[in-house]
Amino acid sequence: MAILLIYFFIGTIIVVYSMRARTRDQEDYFLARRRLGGLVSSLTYAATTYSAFMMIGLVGLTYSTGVGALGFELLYLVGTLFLLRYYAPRIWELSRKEKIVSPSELISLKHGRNSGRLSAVISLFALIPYTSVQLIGVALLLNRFGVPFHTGIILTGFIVALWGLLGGMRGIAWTDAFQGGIMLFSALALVSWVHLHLGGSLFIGTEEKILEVPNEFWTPVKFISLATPWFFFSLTNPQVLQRVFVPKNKLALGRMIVLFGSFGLVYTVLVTLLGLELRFLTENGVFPKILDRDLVTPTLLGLVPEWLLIAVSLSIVAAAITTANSIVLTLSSMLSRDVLGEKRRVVVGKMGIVGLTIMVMAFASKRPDYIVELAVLSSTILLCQLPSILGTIHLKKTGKYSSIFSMISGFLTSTLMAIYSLNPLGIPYSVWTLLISLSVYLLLLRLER
Amino acid sequence: MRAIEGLIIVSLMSVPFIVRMKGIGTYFYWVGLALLYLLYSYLEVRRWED
Repeated sequence: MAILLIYFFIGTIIVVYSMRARTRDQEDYFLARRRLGGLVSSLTYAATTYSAFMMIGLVGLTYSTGVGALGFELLYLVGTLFLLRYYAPRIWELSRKEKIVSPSELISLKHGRNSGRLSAVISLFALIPYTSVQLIGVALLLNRFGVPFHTGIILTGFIVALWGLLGGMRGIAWTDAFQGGIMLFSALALVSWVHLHLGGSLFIGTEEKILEVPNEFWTPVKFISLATPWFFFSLTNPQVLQRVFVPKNKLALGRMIVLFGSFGLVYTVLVTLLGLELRFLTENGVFPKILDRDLVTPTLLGLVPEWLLIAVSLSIVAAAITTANSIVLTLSSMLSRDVLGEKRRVVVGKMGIVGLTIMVMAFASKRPDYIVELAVLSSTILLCQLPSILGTIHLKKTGKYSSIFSMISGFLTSTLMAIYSLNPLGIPYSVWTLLISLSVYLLLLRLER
Repeated sequence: MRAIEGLIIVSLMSVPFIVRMKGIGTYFYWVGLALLYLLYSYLEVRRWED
C-alpha cells in the first residue's frame, strides 16, 4: 500500500510539473499543443497500447498455447509499423492543416458530422467495457494485498480521472513515459529472476507441440481471426490514432514510430519468453502445472521475492492505468467535440473525463457477465471504422451515407456474429466485419457519386 | 507498392503456419523478422524531414 502511495505521489508530481503553463484551449488540453518530443510520444504510444493483458494474459496464453502467441503479437507489431510508416505522416499533416483534435473528426472531415458522431458513439460503446476491465484487473490485484475490491475500483478510477483532469494529454503522456519505464524494467527483472533462480534454459527440450505452429490452438483460422483486428489497431483504435497528432514535427513522429517499435519488440519478447520458460519449467517439474492460463502470472508472483512481487504488481497497475486514462481522455475529446459539438471550452472536456470515469467505475464495480466478452470484442467492433478512415485519407470526394451505413453494418456484423458465435464458411467474424463494412462503403460510395 | 509491401510482410509472418515450422527456430524466425522490419522502418523514417 505504501508503494502504491509513492507511485501515486510521483505520478501526481509529474502531472503537476507538466501543468506549468495554463491550459488555453482544447487543442492544448487534448493534444498538448501538438508539441511532444519523439521519446515521450513513443512511450505514451507504447504505454497506451500495451495494457495489463501483456503481463497477465499474454504470459498465460504463451504458456498454454505456445509460440503462436508470439507470432500473433509480432504480427500486430509489424502491422502497426507498416501502417504508421505509411499513414502517420499523412494523418499528422491533415490533423494540423484541418485543426483536427479528436480521432472522429478525421471521419467528419470528408463524410459529414453525423458520421463523426456515429464513430464517437461506437468508440464509446466499444471502449468503455475494455477500460472497465483494466480497472477490474487492478482492483483484483490490489485485493491480493488486502484492499477490498470496490475500494480498489474507486482508487484506480480516482487516479485515472485525477491525472487526466489535471494534466490533459501532456500530464498523461509524461506519466505514461514514467510508467512505461516501470513496465519494461519489471518485465526484464522478472524474466532474469526466472532464468537465474528457477533455471530456465531457453526452453531447449520443451515439448515440441508448444514450439510448433499450427497446433491445437493456433490454427490458421484462429491466427487470422485474432490478428485481423490487431493488425489495423493503429488506425481503428482512437486512443492510439490520436497520439499520431501530438509529435512536434515529422522527425519526432518518425522517432515515435521507431522507438515504439523497439519498446514493443523488447516487451513482447520478454513476456513471451517468460511464458515459454515457465512451460519448460513445468515440464521439468520446477513450476506447478497451471490449467487456467490467467493464473500463470499470479502463481509465479507467489514464488518471487517481495521486491520483485511489488515491482511486477506495480507494472501491472501502471499498464492498466496508462491504457485506461489515455482511453478516457480520448473518449472525452470525442464526447465533447463530436457528440456534443463543443470545440472550445476545456471545462466540457474535463467534465467528460469525470463523467466517463464514473461510468467506467460503475461498469467495473457491477462486473456484468458479458464484460470480458465485450472487452475482447472491442477491437473487432472498431474495425467498422476502417473504411471511413481510409476513405478520408485516400479519396478526394466521399459521401455521408457510405460512411454511416458501413459503420452500422460492420458494427452489427461484429456484435451479432460474436453473440451467436458465427463464423460463416469457416471465415472468422473479424474478417467478415471488415469485408462487410468495406463492401457497403464501396457500394454506397459508388451510388452516392 | 505499399500494398505489396503489406502483403509480403503478412505472408512472411505466416510462413511458420505454411511450412509447419517446429522447434526453437519458429521463435527466432518471428523475432528476427520483426527485428529486420524494425530496422527497415528506422532506415525509412530517418529520411523524413520537416
